[in-house]
Amino acid sequence: MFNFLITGIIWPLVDIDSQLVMVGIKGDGGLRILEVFDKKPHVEEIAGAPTDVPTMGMCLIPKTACDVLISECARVLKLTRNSIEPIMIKIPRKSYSQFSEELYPPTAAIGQPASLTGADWLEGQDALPNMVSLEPKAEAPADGKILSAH
Amino acid sequence: MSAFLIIYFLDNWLTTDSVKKGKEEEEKETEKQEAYELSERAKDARKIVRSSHFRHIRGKMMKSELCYHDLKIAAVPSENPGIKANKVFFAVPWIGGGGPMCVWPIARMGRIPAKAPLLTAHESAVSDWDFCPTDDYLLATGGEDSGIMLWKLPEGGLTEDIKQSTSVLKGHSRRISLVGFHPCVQNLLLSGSADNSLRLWDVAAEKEVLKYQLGDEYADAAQMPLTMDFSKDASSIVVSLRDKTVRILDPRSNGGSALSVQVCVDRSEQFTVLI
Repeated sequence: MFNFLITGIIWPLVDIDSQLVMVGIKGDGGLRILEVFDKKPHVEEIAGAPTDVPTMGMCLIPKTACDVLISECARVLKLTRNSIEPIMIKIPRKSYSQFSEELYPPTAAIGQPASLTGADWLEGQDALPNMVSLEPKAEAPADGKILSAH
Repeated sequence: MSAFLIIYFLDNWLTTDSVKKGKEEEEKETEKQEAYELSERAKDARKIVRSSHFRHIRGKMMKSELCYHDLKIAAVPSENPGIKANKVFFAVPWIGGGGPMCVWPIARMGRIPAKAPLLTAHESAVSDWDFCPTDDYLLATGGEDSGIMLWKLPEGGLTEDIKQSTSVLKGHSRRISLVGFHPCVQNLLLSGSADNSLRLWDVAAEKEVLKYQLGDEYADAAQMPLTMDFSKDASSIVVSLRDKTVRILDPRSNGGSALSVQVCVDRSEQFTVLI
């Protein structure tokens, strides 16, 4: 059980691959970052990103658009009354030259053909989404399931 | 006398020696115990300090010149996050007659002009919208005029108002509350409406594929779907309804057999899901 003291509508933005939840609160300026994991207590607040202007809405940009070489884990578009403020969620590093494999598990492909056609789905087939590796210029592995996002 | 002394000293020495030995053993034992406790504590500590790659994560506001300014954003229903984005565009509802939408390229930061090009085919306000996950240039909008519109967006962004949508999906009898594309089935769109129904559409063929009536069509919108999500393997749909229930639907079974899950909402606004 994880308790927040929140007054207002919340928008949980979930990054299912790295098990992060960005929680935005309507009318509140802050953004809280939670991590979900297998062991108890299952949820932990790992950071907050306080900003001044109250939030009116929030959404995530697809992970394939994040800059992986500067350890950017997610980018949130925060809607205020008359502007949109991008919030970059990243992990500070001493040097940013390398791609960190542990931060970027393969993610669902966006902007590429889906893994099932509508007719196949209606006949009863299930399929997991096509996954892409976020590594720049990644080579497809032998099974060909992981495609490059760039 | 001397013998007694010798015995006494011997005795004493023996006793002191045995006491010493005992003390040493005790000390050793306590040391062992302490070492054991320490190791246990270390194990506990390892349990408490969880290793996480995201431990030092930070959220950072972008500089003012990398933000988007002077937007004229219209109000949306409170369950709606108010903005949707993909790699190329973001879409927000715009102030004005009918239900204009502003679709702006993400790469073009800074001030947004007062006469920004809009999508203006809806007759009343837009209540939900979604970008297609397989095509960055396809947007679906659902309006309070009970129509769902599909927009093929030009590459490089809008240069002038688009007054005619690419296609219109008609079928719902009351206002649309929810529009969302399926993440891993090509061209499949789900919509919810205040007529207490969910419909699945084939976007390419522009026709209705499946329909689930969640409540009486002409009653008040008690079973209006507010939010939804698909399971990862495309087999089920989860919708939250206005009557504070969550329904898990098996969409391809007869009529969409539903498992209804009551969501309790107590006065302190703590949500608990009971399955």
